[in-house]
Amino acid sequence: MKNPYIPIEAEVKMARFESDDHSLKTIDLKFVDGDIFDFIPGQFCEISILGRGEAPFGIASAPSEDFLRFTINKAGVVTTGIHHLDEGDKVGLRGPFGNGYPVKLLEGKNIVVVSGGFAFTTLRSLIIYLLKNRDKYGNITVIYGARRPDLLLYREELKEWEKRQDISLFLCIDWKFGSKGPLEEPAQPGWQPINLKEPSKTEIKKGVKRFTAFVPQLVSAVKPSQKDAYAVVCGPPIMLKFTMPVLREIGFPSERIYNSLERRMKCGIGKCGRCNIGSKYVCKDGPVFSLKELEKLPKEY
Amino acid sequence: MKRVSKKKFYNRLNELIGQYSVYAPCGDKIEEIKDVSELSIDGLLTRLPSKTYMFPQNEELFRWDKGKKIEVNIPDRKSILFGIRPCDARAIATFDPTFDTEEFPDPYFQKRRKNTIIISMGCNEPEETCFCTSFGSGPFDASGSDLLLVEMEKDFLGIGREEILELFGFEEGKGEKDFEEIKTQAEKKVEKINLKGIKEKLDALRETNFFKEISNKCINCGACTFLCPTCYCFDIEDMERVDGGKRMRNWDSCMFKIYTYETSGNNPRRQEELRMQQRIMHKFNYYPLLYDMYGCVGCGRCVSYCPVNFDIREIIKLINNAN
Repeated sequence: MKNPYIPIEAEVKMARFESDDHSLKTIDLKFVDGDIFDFIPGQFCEISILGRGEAPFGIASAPSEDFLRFTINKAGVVTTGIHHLDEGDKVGLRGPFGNGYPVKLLEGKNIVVVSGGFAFTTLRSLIIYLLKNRDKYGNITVIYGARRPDLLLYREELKEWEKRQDISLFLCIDWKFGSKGPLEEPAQPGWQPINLKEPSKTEIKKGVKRFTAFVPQLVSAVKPSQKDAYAVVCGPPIMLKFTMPVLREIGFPSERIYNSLERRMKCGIGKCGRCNIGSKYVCKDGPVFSLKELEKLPKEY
Repeated sequence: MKRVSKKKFYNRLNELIGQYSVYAPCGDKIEEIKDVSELSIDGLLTRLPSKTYMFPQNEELFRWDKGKKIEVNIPDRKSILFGIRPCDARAIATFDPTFDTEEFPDPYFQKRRKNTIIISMGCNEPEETCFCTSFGSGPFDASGSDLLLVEMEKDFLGIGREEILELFGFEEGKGEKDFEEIKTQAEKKVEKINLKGIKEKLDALRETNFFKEISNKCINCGACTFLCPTCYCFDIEDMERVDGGKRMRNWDSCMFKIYTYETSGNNPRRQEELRMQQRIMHKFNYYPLLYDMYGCVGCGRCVSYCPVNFDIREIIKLINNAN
């Protein structure tokens, strides 16, 4: 019988800090024995540091890549342990867990990806998957924001995607040293401000991809068409709260908005009991839910 | 009806102690016994429930040595769990749909479950906190046991699997009439609470003030969940010393604030009423919805041992009346 609690040994092949303040670290892992398992973008793993514990993290690499990537914010005991890792160090890995993004359902559709902060990890996985299978999908629009430019993840890749014709990428930042309240001026040179009072009236010039705004405002300004489109959203609760109404206003019905949720988890396999929302377990039945499914559940998220 | 003298039964149990590890009530908990003389089953329910055996409070998942090499030890020994009450036996079965799943079977629970013969003892004299009959069960429900014993003056009547009856030397004998009498008398003493439609009634209470009101006196000590034979929530934690360490699985409780507290500071169940809602809903709404069974067997421990006299039977009545 396979024991789902036993972590499999993996080696850190690459470790680097993602942000200037060293709060975010990216590690690439490979199993010591055997190939990487097959998975769907949006699934997660439990990373173990023996002696410290384990915690769940979304997989940031795509199934087509030959490593497993995770980007981790330093917050608690386990994440601090991960921040201390260097190339060649070993960790334990369990997974993949969860349902992942509905990549089959999205086939033939236009896709709008909305993300904020370091929740972008599993969406990197999704975007690379979509680009790899580009002919199966319609237009891809990505709206992604963070407080500062250095908190945007995977900046090299973002730069490449900005140049590509088959994906429309819109980035935003919202923080400037010393500023108070919403910014009417560029937070940094090259980051265009938008009409804050009525974001939807902002005129977006062709080729301009960087803005000073909050994610919901940028979604409102970009106004991605809901026609034949699905929205995939992942971000902090406050971003979700303000982005949902914008998407609804644009005309996305709740069954075409997909959310990836986060919860405190221990087992990752629907047993330890803490990650449930009503009768659904985020680890086993999620972490990706359509807004329609979430509307049926108690308002515990 | 199958029948055996108590003396013969206990002698046989003693003989089996070498072949099987025998666990039985000893005072207020269930422990391994080396001789039947250590038994004390005079009281009705042990304070600690049957899950202390099937799902220990602290269980090692695996250990590692200095070089971080992982070693898994899952106890694999034939066992007899003797003398628990029918409600406790049925409670073990409520773990199955969570721990015995196709996708992620839990080897620790499964191995113990498969290796264990459950012998329960019917309750001739139920307590006033018992409400097992509310769940279509009763003081002589054999459904969770491999063998259910009915205590007569000098004999045990046995209901259960043929090979287990044989193992203990049960023989065909009289006793139907006596058993019916004992059963009827015992069932009369158990309070039967109306659970009809409780799932739907709870659905209707979800966004109301109901849980805020009932959770007012709760102090979130978690005694109800630790003593509940069907509560299985757990935490996973590491223990390490210089020469190695262990990953442990420990009981946890949905009544604790920290249970759902995320590192980011977000806590989806930070209010007491949300935690109370979780506990009641899990037992009487989610479990029936997911597995067509209640997450409660009516043992009454949470009623007996709650420090602020929170009575789940009263709550069920309030739920019935709230609609």
